[in-house]
Amino acid sequence: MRWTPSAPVNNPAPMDYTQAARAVAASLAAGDDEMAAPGALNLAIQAWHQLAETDTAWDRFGLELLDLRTRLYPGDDISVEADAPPGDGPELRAVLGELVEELARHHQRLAANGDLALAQRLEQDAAAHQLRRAVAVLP
Amino acid sequence: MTVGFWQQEAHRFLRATAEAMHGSRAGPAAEVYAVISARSDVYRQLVRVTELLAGGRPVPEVPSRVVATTILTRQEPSLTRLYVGLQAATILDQPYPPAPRTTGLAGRAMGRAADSIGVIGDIIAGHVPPGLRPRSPEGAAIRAGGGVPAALGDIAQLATDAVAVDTELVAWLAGAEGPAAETYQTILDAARWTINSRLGTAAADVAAESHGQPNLLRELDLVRSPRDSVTAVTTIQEATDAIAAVRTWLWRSPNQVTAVHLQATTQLGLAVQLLCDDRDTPYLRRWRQAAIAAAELRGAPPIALAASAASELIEALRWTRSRLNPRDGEPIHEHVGHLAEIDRQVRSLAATMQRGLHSAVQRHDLFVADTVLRRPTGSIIYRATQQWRPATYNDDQVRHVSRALRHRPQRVESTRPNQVKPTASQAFPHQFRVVAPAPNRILELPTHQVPDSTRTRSR
Repeated sequence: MRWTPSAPVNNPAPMDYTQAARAVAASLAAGDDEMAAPGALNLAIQAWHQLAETDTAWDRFGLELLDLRTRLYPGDDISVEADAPPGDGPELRAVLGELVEELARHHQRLAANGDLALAQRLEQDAAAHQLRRAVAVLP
Repeated sequence: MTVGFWQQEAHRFLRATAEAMHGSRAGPAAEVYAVISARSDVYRQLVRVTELLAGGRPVPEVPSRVVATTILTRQEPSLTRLYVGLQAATILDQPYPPAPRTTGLAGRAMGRAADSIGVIGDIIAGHVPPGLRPRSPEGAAIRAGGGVPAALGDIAQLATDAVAVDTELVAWLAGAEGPAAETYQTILDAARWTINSRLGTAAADVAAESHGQPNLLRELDLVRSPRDSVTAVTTIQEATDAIAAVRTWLWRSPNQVTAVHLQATTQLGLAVQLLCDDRDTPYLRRWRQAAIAAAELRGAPPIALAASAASELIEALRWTRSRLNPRDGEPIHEHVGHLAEIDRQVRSLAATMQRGLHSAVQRHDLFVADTVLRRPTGSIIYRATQQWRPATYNDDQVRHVSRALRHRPQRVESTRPNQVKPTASQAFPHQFRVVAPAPNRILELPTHQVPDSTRTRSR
């Protein structure tokens, strides 16, 4: 687990999970940080790790994200400094839904990038649909 | 020529057909028969392309227009309604004679439209052949849903064009009298059903859902270097067979088990358990913990038959995951009678992987990362520098995976009658299928992730 770094450089107090999710979503929307996309995926997967015992819908969500990470983010060298997510509930799911939707938009933008080969753009588009399908299982 | 080119051609010829009929009356019977034949071809080809894009039939074959009407008025996904409407539009209560080759303008245009849609189907089928695994990187992405909603929007547009042709067809045939009127009653019934059904609404709904999606499949051309044909997993029985085949081979070759096999197995264990019993049990929790832990393991990528074994597991996992979270319009089947069998095979696979895990640790072919996190100035996101070392039995990742593989509580008994419980001699009846490993595997590891030997020795 790399959720809480043991000895990170310049370690401030960890952010609240929802604050971190909103900050990463904003960064994704702004497109100003190349680490925002894997960071968003990391945050979403951490929510699955922490909250799965409350509802098996989280496992359906997590399996999709794990597949996506293996295919598109194989490096897995990103971690977001934040507290563990608070308990499962509508607010947490809404924040996570916004984060995942922002990540889906990021992949859809890549799918529209004419510099990429068609197979890559199709893969990015598939990722966007997969993310939306994954988050849809969390009502 | 690309799918987009042929889509434009089909659109153009369907409009030309409607224009040729508009304000005129049907000519000789041969011309009418040609139009009827081409019309059936148009709808059949639209059904085929829809199936190719959806990855199978969204619903079983529609037996009659009455059934189709019922489905079209229900709260079904728009893709299901479109598919049912298209299928019902092909139904004719009685067959017509074969059409002659040379016909009038309407018949020729309709024939060209059917051919154009047929070519679209041929191009797509080259990438995602029915019943087989994708034969190109584009095909792999299409099967995962890439470009599909927008392409279905184009199909919906062609369906709308075809309904417009049916509207003109009814008026075109309206002037027929005497024996001809009776002869044409069958096609008139079919065309009137199409016009008055909710096929047009379903098509509009599919088109609306695709609005704003990048229309990537229009750029798709014929597959240039197709991969070998390998059977896809499309049913629970095929998934069970794939798991059994891998289990058989890896039981005999535990020294071939790699991190990729462990990752696929633990995710498969979690997915199958969710499919069998969607409750948060201790058994499910162990699989979950194992899947999370296995995802952090690395190792040399499998080669030769071990790669084929990984490919089979990954395909079974892909199918199982798709059952847990089906796409809109994807077929959902009842698998009650088969769940016990796939559960049994996964438990048996777990025993095999337990041996394999032991072997992989012994031969130092599993790696875990010691991670140092560094944060760029102003960011809350850390970049990790991972230092890989051979995994040991003391590592959490290995312990979690081992615990799930070792712990196999009383399984669900099969509902099949006269089920023979496996004995040692009966346990592995399936022969391993040799398949070509395909690129872009779900769990394939990039080469840069594999720790180099220098680093391994240094720890």
